[in-house]
Amino acid sequence: MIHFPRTLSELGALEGEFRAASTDLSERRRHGISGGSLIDLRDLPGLDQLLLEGPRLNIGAKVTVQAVADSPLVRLHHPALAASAGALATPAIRAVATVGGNLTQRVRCWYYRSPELTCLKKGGSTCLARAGDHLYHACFDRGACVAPHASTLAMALLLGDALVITTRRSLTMAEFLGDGSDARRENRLEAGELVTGLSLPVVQAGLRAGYHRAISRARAEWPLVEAAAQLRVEGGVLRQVQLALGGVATVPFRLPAVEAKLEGLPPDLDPIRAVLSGASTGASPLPMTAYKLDLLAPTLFYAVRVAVEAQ
Amino acid sequence: MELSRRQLLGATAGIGLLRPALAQAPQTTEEGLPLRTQVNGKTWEGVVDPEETALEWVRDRLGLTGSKEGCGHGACGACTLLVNNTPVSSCLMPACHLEGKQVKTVEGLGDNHPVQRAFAGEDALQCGYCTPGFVVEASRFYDQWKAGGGGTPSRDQVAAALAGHLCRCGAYPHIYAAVIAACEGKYDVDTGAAPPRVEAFEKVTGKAKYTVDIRLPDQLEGLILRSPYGHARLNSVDSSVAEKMPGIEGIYRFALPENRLRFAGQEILALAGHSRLQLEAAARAVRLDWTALPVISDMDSAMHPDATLVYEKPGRQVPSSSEGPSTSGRWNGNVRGPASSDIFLNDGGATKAINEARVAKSPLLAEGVWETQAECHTALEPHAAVAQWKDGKLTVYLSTQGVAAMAEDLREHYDLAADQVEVIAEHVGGGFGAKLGFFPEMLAAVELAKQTGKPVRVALGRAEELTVGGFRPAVRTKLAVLDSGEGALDALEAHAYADAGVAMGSSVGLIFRILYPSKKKEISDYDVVTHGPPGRPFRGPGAPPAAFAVEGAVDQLAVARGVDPIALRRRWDPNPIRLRLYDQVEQLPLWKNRPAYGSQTGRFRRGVGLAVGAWPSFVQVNVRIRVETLDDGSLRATTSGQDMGNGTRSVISSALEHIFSVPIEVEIGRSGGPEGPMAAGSRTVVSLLPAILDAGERLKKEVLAAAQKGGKKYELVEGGLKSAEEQLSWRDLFRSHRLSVEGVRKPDEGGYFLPVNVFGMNAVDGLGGAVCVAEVEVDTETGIVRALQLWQGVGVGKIATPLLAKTQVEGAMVQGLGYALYEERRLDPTTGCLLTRGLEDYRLPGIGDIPPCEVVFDEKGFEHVLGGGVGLGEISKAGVAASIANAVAWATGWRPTHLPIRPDRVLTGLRGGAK
Repeated sequence: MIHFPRTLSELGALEGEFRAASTDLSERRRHGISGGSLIDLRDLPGLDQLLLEGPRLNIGAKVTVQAVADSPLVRLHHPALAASAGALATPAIRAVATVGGNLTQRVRCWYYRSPELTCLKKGGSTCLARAGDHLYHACFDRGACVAPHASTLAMALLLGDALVITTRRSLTMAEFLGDGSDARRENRLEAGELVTGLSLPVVQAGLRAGYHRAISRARAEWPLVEAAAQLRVEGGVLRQVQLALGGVATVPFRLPAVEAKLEGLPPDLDPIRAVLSGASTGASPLPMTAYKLDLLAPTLFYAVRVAVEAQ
Repeated sequence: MELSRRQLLGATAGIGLLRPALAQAPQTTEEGLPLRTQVNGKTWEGVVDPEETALEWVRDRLGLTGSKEGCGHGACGACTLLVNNTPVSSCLMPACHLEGKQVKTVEGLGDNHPVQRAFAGEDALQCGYCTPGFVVEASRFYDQWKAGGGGTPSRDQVAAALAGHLCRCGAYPHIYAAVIAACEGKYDVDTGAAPPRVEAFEKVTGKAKYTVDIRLPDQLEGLILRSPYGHARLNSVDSSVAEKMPGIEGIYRFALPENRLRFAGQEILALAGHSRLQLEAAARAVRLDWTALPVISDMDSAMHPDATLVYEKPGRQVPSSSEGPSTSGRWNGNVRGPASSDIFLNDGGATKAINEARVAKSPLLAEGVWETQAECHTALEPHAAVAQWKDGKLTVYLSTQGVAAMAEDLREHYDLAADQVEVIAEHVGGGFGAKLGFFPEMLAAVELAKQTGKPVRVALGRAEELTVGGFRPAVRTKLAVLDSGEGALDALEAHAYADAGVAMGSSVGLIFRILYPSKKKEISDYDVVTHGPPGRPFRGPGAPPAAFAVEGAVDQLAVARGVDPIALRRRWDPNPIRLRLYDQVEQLPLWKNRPAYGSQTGRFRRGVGLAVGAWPSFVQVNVRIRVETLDDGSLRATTSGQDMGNGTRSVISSALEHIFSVPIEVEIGRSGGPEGPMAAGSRTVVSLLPAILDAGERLKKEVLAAAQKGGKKYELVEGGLKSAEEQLSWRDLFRSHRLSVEGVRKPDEGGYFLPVNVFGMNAVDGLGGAVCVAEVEVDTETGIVRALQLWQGVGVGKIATPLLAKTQVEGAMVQGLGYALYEERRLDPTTGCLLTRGLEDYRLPGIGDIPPCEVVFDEKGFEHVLGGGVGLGEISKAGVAASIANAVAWATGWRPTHLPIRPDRVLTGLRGGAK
């Protein structure tokens, strides 16, 4: 069964999995990881706008990742989001993949993606990666599952008071993601609840941001670790420092303790680097992911450096 | 609008539902989702399934097969279409999302777009399977570049635009060149120049038909159901529901001795049906009842004294990963070997000498354990077969490296006469050694076609390809080299253990035998069987892991002794080709200006490493080619060989054109013609070129005889025949004489390295040589290694088609880079199931990973071989990864002993930890 709703009000009566550009869903359905009815958003109007409305920058859920990367408005008001959008996937994926789809895509875990294997997310009783091959998995243990969250945009949107707007409510990104302890899901959306857009506050000039994706091939790769940083340099010191890390836990997360230590520091790289070396506090690596701890501080540092050096 | 899946299934297959566009917009119908699009400027209307992809729509419904499925998950770009002028991955896009859109496929670019001309002109392709996707994306980049003012794009700009494309043959260096040249306007004017690769225009326009593109009337699709577990007893298979599901027409059960499943992915049964979606649904309805048995997933558990036996009675059932016959070896549990030592000329003295040196802590000894990973061939065209039985004759379109051999195998298997079997492989989308045998997918297609009376296509999906499509065995080598200190390699001891899953046939030891002469040798080859899919021969079987180990040890010795790596090798290396190549390396600024070992400090450390590659040279004697004159004075050359991107057609064409200066039509890829070479053992050119030259000589003689029939006296001159009154060109003579000759590849005078002919191959006397130099930059903070420059000198005698040879060697360097840094097949240790199921997890190098590559040829040394040269496909891959590993050692002072050189290993290594 497939539905093509034309208004949001129709959604309440429909059951099925939402399909936007299908850059994640097609592969899952093909291998039987997902099934059942589809609610295809193709004909749903009004979600593909990126508009400055009063003090908010509103981004419809069907706006493409590439449009976010290219938007002068996003570059101005949420530069970390624009930078991270431009760094993920491939040009052909970014051209169609949507903001809503990026936030709600499922994990890349090779156990989850294998049709032969039944992991926690598929109703199994144990995390197969934990006891098996978890080379690319979490180094912060947040629950039973150890698959890193797949959304780069979600990580960037932890910065700057972004709101996720759904058919039922608006949530901060942290609320949207939850604490990552529920192995069955990667966000707090309820059944039938659709992300309809993002709402970002407009900011005063001078916001600086950086994004870094630690990947061993040059391009088109899921990150080992990724980080975003946002800050201001005012009166010769760092202010409003916000940092987020991805690729290391079932949800991306902020680093409030490290942020607080950076606050008020001069924008000199060496002391910043020294502070960031504490980023692995609280980490709980698996046997094969201890290397990711080595990547945390450098990855954060490159993101912060871009921000500090930004004009 | 709502439709049930059940309503759709019965009615959506087949092109018959397509009809010319109607005036009104499509309405909801009961047949499926209506779709109306413009494709290449023409309006199409049809009905699609909600799960059908845009790629399936253009390929299967519209018959536009230029766009290919490579990975099926948006990683390789072979399926790229322009939708409203934007490149998209059509394998992921639902077909119904094309509603109201403008679609352009490679066919819609026309036949002569500047980007197509550039790809053809710069030889930016080999097998050509990924090429339409690259061309479509590059055409958009070209348009935008021109609109933005033109000029020369940087390599980085090209890499950013083409980041979503993968080329397994590794044509990236020439793809850079083609895109840059096109953007500079160098191909804006059509000069009509013939491309260096004769079939290039078929490939850049999407016209080239690969096996997966074959569409015969009434053709069914086949799907293979596989073992879901690494080791199990299959108690029962209930396919009764599946067989009655909509669209299912046939079922074939594979033979399973003792009902044992020995690896996850092993073939259980195959279904034939009308569409992929129907087959997938039916496959899910098959009930397998199986009992899990202990899974041996790696070498260590296989070698444990109490390990479960993968084979209780190993015998003929054990498949081989070798390119030739396996050497003899006895079984001890899951371990087979060592192979008989007389092949390696072991004399027993090496172990003793090395033990003594070890006790004495001699600085002349270097030793260690080197480990390499399973490397998948994963050619972008998967293994595929389309079989048809008609009037007692079997025709199989097959993605194969051995058209003639497969026809012979099928003839024997089905007890048919020679003219009752035909194997056709017009274009083969890469092989690298994995497409040499009689494989289950071909058997399934042939059996299902027999059963249903309809043509059946079986094409592996990417996960299947990465499971059963073949891989280079993982190898663990314990190796020691002992320098005499007086200009010789005193002793070499090497024990190689290879994990080819359920297969055997390691040939690592052979490389140690042929690489360097040492006074004393102790070499052994072991196979360790596990519950993994069977390995297959992969481009220079045994050579890359062997070079990684021995060249690592030699480099270690050079460092420890403070001797220049080339100077050290010169003391014992007798290979005249390599000695000449060392001279060339010593003149390279790259080599001359290299930083001293471990001298770099700071975050980024640069290092230059060197390694040599070796591989024996093989020839297939008695290869034949027919050359006929045609009415227009051109020639047609026919042989049953195939072209998997290695340039078979171009070698034939350029050699004949060189002799006769007339247009050449090449017909290959069909069995039944004169016996062509199998594409294995780097034998194509060395086997074929002498046959072509022989055909040329015969044709000259026949033309002379025909011309003199009238009594006039002619003599052979350059360009044709000459009499007292006139000079006739070959073209004129061919026009007036219908002649056909057959050239044959004769044995070489002076014999062969081995007296026996094995699997149709003879080993040529004399060894080629390859020397690789790599420059890398190691990020000591993240452990990420990037190649900055690659150089390779290859000496295999005379080069038949220089530009294509360069493309092929660069491809080997790209593959070697992937093997060194990224590629790694991983199986779940508990279940034996494949984890790296796609091209996101099995990580091939992308264009952005490729540094400038330089190739030089040394063309001397094979004058004793007919044609003057031997093969280069395999030797050019042998030393690449080893040179990169040595470069990492020179950059950091830490020597990698495990491939791939992943960030986690580098970080651990730099901290002084193991691995």
